[in-house]
Amino acid sequence: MSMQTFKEWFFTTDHKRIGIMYLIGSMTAFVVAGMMALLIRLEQSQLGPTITDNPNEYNQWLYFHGAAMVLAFLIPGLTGFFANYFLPLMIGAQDVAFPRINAFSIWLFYGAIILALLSFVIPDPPDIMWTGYPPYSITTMGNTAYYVFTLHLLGFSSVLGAVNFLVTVIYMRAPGIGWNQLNIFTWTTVAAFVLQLVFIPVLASAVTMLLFDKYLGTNFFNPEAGGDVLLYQNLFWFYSHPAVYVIFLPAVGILFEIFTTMCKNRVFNYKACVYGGVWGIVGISGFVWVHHLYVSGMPDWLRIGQMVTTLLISVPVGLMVMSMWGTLYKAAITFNTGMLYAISCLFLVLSGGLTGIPLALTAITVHLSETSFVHAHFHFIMAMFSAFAMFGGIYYWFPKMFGRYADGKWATTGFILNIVGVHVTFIPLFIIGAQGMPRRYWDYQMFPQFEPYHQVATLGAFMVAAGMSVTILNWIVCAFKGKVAPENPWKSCSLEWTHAPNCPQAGNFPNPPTVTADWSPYGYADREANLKATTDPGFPGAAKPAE
Amino acid sequence: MREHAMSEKPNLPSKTKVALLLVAIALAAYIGVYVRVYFFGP
Repeated sequence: MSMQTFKEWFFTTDHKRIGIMYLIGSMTAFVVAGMMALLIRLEQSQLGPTITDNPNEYNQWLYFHGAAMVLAFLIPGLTGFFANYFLPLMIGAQDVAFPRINAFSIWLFYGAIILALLSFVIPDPPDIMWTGYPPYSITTMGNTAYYVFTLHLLGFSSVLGAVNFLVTVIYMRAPGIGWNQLNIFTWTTVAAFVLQLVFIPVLASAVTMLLFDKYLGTNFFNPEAGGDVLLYQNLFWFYSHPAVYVIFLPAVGILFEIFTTMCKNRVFNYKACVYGGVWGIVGISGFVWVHHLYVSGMPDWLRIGQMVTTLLISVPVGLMVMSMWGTLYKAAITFNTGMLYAISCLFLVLSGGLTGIPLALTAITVHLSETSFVHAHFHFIMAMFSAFAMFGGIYYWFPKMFGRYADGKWATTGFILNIVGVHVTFIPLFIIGAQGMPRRYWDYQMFPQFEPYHQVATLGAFMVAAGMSVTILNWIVCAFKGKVAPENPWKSCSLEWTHAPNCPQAGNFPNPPTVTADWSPYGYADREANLKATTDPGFPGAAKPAE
Repeated sequence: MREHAMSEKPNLPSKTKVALLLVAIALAAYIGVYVRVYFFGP
């Protein structure tokens, strides 16, 4: 890479390049955090010390795996990469509202990624999981400040992104695009950024108080001096449960874009999905955090109340899931790799959702809390569901980004290894979790009967590792040498496909679009009329080279 | 009435004002936690 190219990318304010940089950063975090998962699974594959006899080392793997997967892969991947690259294209904008602030966000993100990676070489790395619970985090010899500073960088980056994208959607929509003509992905991303804007600052103040407690002698969370550890847990989950929806919502948005295009169908129950589903989740998301703390000594009125809200949130989620199934109904479905990932998500959300019901019920969760049942559940509903939606989205938009297909036998091989691998990994953990296998334990000598299950789970983890290696290598090769794709290869009606060329240049559109009230991003029923409802109706117009 | 370049919504305040309002919401949430802890204790 020449210095000129490096400068062009480093100082870019183009939302697409920034999006690609988020993709590279978040996939780097995914790969390293995935390696930590393999170490964790290897350690658990046999009773007694397996690959380390130092439990603190195991704790550091857990810390990096959790923190990096959630905060550096899932959230930046969905609200950084996908939102940056595709949202402005979908709404017909030429860039985001504040391109320089967007560039500042990516610098902060990379600063955090570099800090996180350096935690492998500093002498006293953080060993406080991704949760940072006191009192351990304020007494450990590990570097809690490092954790706090990394979170601050990521949080500041996300809040700036939230401000930027909310203003972008309010102001930068192509003339004529009304609120009910937005892509579902745009709606879900807006909702995710509203959650980021409101809830991230709460986490930021919680971890700052943690910092003060450890290094400046305050006692917010120190029970010996009248502080309350539960205050931290409440504040942490007051952000971190909505963070699940920051991940879940854009992932669902990606699925809708794939389903509608591959089914050539409208969104079933668009308004119920948006106003009931998306905004229903936003509305309830701030009232469900206590289900993470059922066994932490919460008063009954709070536990029972939030059990109801936790069960209630399945209603908006259900509305969205029904809309997805309704979109598939009676459609002539094109099965490509993106669609395979998207359909698998329907089953992952089912498994993850149904196993969430016993965890939502206070009477049952007493038995399941802190077991591997919980971590199998959230890996299904949050981690795998969202990661698979992301991978599907990458295959779906690959021709847009690189002008080439990434589909093919290697893509399918990767998908099969991934989908089989995640089930082989986590179904055994559901089973032994229900029987009492504690989560996060370095060793489990008191439960020798669980060893075979752990071995199967470890085998599954290596299947996923093989699947992801194939998948990522396939992307890298196809980005340079894949089969060349035509403009709009999936025949979508959405603006990023109909009006922007593949590999769009700065400014995005040769002819910035304007639409009428009759246009819809899902206007497959009468495609010709839908294209005529834009100022540049003939698609070949979109194939003109960018100016 | 001021013309708006992209979205033709002349009655909206400027982009910067809306962005500052959103930043104020985030700051209020940040400071609100300290205020809550200061006045009502842990």
